[in-house]
Amino acid sequence: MAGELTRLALLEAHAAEEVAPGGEGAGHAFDPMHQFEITRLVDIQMFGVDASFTNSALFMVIAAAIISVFTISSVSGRAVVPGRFQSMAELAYEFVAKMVRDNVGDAGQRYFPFVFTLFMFVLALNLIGMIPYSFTVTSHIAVTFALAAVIFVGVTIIGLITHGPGFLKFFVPSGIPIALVPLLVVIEVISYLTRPVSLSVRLFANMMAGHTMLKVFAGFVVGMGIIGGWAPLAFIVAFSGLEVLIAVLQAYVFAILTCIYLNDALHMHH
Amino acid sequence: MRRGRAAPGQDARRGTQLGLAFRLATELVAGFVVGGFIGWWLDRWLGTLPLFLLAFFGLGAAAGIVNVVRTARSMNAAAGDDQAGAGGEPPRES
Repeated sequence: MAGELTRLALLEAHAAEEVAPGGEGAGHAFDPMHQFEITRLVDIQMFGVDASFTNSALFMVIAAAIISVFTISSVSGRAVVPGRFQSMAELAYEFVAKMVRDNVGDAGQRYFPFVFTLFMFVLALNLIGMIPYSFTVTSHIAVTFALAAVIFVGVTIIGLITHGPGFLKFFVPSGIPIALVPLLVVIEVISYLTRPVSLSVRLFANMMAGHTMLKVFAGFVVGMGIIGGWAPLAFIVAFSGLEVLIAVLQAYVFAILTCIYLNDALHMHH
Repeated sequence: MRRGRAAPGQDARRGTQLGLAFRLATELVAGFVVGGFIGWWLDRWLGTLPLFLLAFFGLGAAAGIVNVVRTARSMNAAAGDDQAGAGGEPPRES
């Protein structure tokens, strides 16, 4: 019932939008932000909390399923000379293992499974978002901030467990006059607190900006017609390639920054 | 046609440079946002608007700049490693 109502409300909102903007032509609502809309697929109300299964949740499940099938099936053969899929899985493994070793050192090997899972999850979500008609989960700050918050809290706890109260020395820069210590400690703490914000905003903004731009230029193709539409079409093709690059790059940046934060927590130096 | 074939490589390089610039921008803005939020939250708690908001906005700006300097330094170090390791082309300025 509630789902029906929200759907009706959505429909109404759409009808209103379709009437409102003038000069869009042919009464077509051109809305580049429509792709980010969350829709409820299964309504679940749990203890007064809206825990509905949304399209966002569906694509997370799809990503997790694809990663599981990919990694489990590709290495189940255990061939000495790897096939295509086994090579891909081994490449991904070695890539992340090298990243962890280079940035965290031997102490980081314990956290390799977490970094690998994180990298593959973000990568899968970003790449699935490149498929037309799919939903880009990482274009929502709620999702990226949740991931970043888990990393932030986890890394802080790891630092506190590894160094005990000595971890607080992380916030006191060395070699400065005593008078400046209180001010600099506050700045250091704020700087530390910006980590989850910059980590999540970077991923979310990159994905959202890219996908919005694709949609805007797709709108130009239709708007400029058969004569002028080819230029934006060519741009979309080139830009789609760039978007795939950004999807991989942002997953890499997300994982490598997790490694850097882990390194800070384990070895306590900037 | 030549332009069309040259585009992907150029786009990629521009894309990563854009990524670097964007990373610095988010570091700076995150400082402002977090500082401002802490100040606003303290003010709401103590009922002293706009005292802490202003103070922490300034501190947040400082934290953001500290972040940017640190990120830029690590980027420089990484770029130096790349050039030393690959012995490749020097950065081209246009």
